[in-house]
Amino acid sequence: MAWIAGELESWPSKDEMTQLLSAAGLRVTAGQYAIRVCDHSEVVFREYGGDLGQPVISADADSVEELLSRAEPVSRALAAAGLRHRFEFYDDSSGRIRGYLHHDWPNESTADM
Amino acid sequence: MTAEVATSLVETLSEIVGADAVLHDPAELMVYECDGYIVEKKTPDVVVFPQTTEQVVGVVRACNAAGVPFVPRGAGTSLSGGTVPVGGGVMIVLTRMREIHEVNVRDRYAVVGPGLVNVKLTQRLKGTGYHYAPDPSSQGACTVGGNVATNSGGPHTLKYGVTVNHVLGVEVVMPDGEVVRTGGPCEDGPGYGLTGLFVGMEGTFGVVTKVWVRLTRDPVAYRTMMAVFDTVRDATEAISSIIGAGIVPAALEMMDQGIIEALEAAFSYGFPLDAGGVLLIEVDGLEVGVEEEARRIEALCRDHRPRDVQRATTDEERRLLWKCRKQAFAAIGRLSPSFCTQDGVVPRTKLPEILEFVQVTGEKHGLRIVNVFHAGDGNIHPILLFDERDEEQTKRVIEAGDEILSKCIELGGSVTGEHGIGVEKISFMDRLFTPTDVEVMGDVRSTFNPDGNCSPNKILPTAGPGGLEPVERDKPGRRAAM
Repeated sequence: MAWIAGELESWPSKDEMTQLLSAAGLRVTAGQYAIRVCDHSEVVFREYGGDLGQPVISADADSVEELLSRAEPVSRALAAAGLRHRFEFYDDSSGRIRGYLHHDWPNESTADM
Repeated sequence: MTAEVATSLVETLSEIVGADAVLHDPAELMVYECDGYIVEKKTPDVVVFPQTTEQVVGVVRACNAAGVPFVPRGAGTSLSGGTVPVGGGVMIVLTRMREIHEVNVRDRYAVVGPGLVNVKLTQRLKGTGYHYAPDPSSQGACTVGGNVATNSGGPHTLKYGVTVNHVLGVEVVMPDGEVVRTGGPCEDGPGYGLTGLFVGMEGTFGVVTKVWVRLTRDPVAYRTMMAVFDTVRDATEAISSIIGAGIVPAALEMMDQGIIEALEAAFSYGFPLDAGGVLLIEVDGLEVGVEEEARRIEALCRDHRPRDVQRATTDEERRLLWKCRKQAFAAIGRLSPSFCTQDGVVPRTKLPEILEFVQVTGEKHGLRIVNVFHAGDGNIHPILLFDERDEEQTKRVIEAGDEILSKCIELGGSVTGEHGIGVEKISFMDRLFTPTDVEVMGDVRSTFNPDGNCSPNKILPTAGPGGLEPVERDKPGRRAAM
C-alpha cells in the first residue's frame, strides 16, 4: 500500500479551498471538517476548519503509481492557484519516499527522484 | 446513604458485577476519596468495577432504584476534582473496561473501552504508521474515558487539537440506564454533532462505555529543540515571536527554574539549574518543511537573548526530553509532599504578565509556585507546593489559586484549558458566563440527566439531586487537613 504526506505553506480557508478545487474542474464535497475530492475518492483534506489546527491531506492506494495519478490533478489545481505545496508518496512496506509532487517546494535530498 | 440502603445496594451490585468487583470496606474506600486534585475529598459509599456495558447499565439502574447518586471514574488523574463523589453514593470505576475492541488503520479509527490507558493505544499502534494524537502529560496513567470526560489536551494540542478533535463517536449509558451511541467510524455524519457535546461533559450526561477514536498518521519528520533563557520573560517573548510569525509547532512547552530543578534531580538530563526558563519546541511534517520551520524558530529564539538553543540529535535525546516534560508532575514529589496544579488560560501575549502575577501571588501567600505549561496555547499550569497536613497552608493554596484564576479571567482568558471544572472551579462558572449561559447549560444537562443523579455537583454551581446540598466553595467535601 502507498500513502501520501503533504503540506501547504499556507492553507486557504475551507471555502476558498473548495472553490479553487472546483474551479480546476474537480468534483468536490465539503463536509463539516473535511473536503473530499470525489473524482479521486482517496484524496481527502481532513480536520479542516474550526480550531483544529492545520488540515492534513489523506490518501492511500494499492500502489505509488496509482496514488500519484490520483493526487496529480489536485496538485495541479493548487499550483494553478499559486499555492506552494509539496506532496510526498510513501511505500508502506519500506516506509521510504517513492515520489513527490510539488509547487515551488523542492527538496535537495529528493531532487533527483 | 443509610446503613440499610448500603447493605442492600452492596448485595444487588455484587449480583451484577460479582462480589470481587465491589468495595465497601471504609479502609478500601479511602483510596477513592480524591483524584489528582487532593484539596477536596469525599469517600464514596460503594465502589464498583464493571467490565461490560451491560454491567454498567445494571449498576446505574440499581443506583436509581436505591435513590443514590453515582459518579464514573477512570484512573483518577483529574486535576480538578472531577471524580470526587460529592454527596457520596456509588463510584463506577471503569478501569476494567480497557479492551481495544478494534483497530482499523485503513479507515483511520479504533474502538476502545473507556478504561484503556491512553498510551496503551499508541503502543498498540506502533509499527502501523499511526498514533492516537491526544497525549496528556499523564498519558501513562490516564484513561481514554477520562480524556473524553474532560476533553483533555496535552503538549501536542497546539497542532493536533484536543480530545474532541479525535473522538468520532461514543457509547454512553445514560443516567436512566438506556444505552445510546453517537457517531461511529465515519467522519462528518449528518445531524447534530452530539459526540462533541458528550466530550467534556465531565460525567454529567452519563457513563461512557465505548469510544471511537481517530488515528493520526505519524509525521514523516520532526525536529525537537530546546532553548534555554535566563529569564521567564525572555522565554515567553520568544513564544510570542514564534506564534506571531505564523508558525504552528507541534508542541511548544515551557518549564521554569523550579521544575528544572526537580527534573534534573529525577532524570539528570543536563538542564542548567540556574536557567530562568526552558522552552521545549517540536515541529513535525515533511522533511523539507520541518527543516525550514526549525531554522526559523531557532532564529526567532536567538532574537530574545537565549543562553543556548540546541536540537535533539538522536531519537534517544528526543525521547528523554519528552520523558522529562511528561514526568514533570511526578518529579514534583521531590520538592514537596503535596501540590495543587492550576489550569488557567490567557492570550499568549499575556503570558509574561500572568507569570509575573503568579510569582507575586506566591510571594504574597508564602507559597512556592513552579511552572510547566503549554506555552503555545497560553495554557498555564502553576503548581502550588504545600503540605496538605497543614491546614493554614491548604487555605493559602486555595486563596492563591483563586487569585491566579481570577487574574486569568481579568486578562481575557479562562479558568481551564484542559483539566475541566470539576468541583474545584465550580464557583467560577457564574463569573465566566452570564446567568443565561449558565441556565442554558443547566437545561442541556437536565435534558440528559433530569434527576441530577449522575455526577452531581460538577461543572454547574446549582446542579445536584434532591437531598444533596449544592456545592459551596468553602464546603464542597472534606477539605484536606481541615
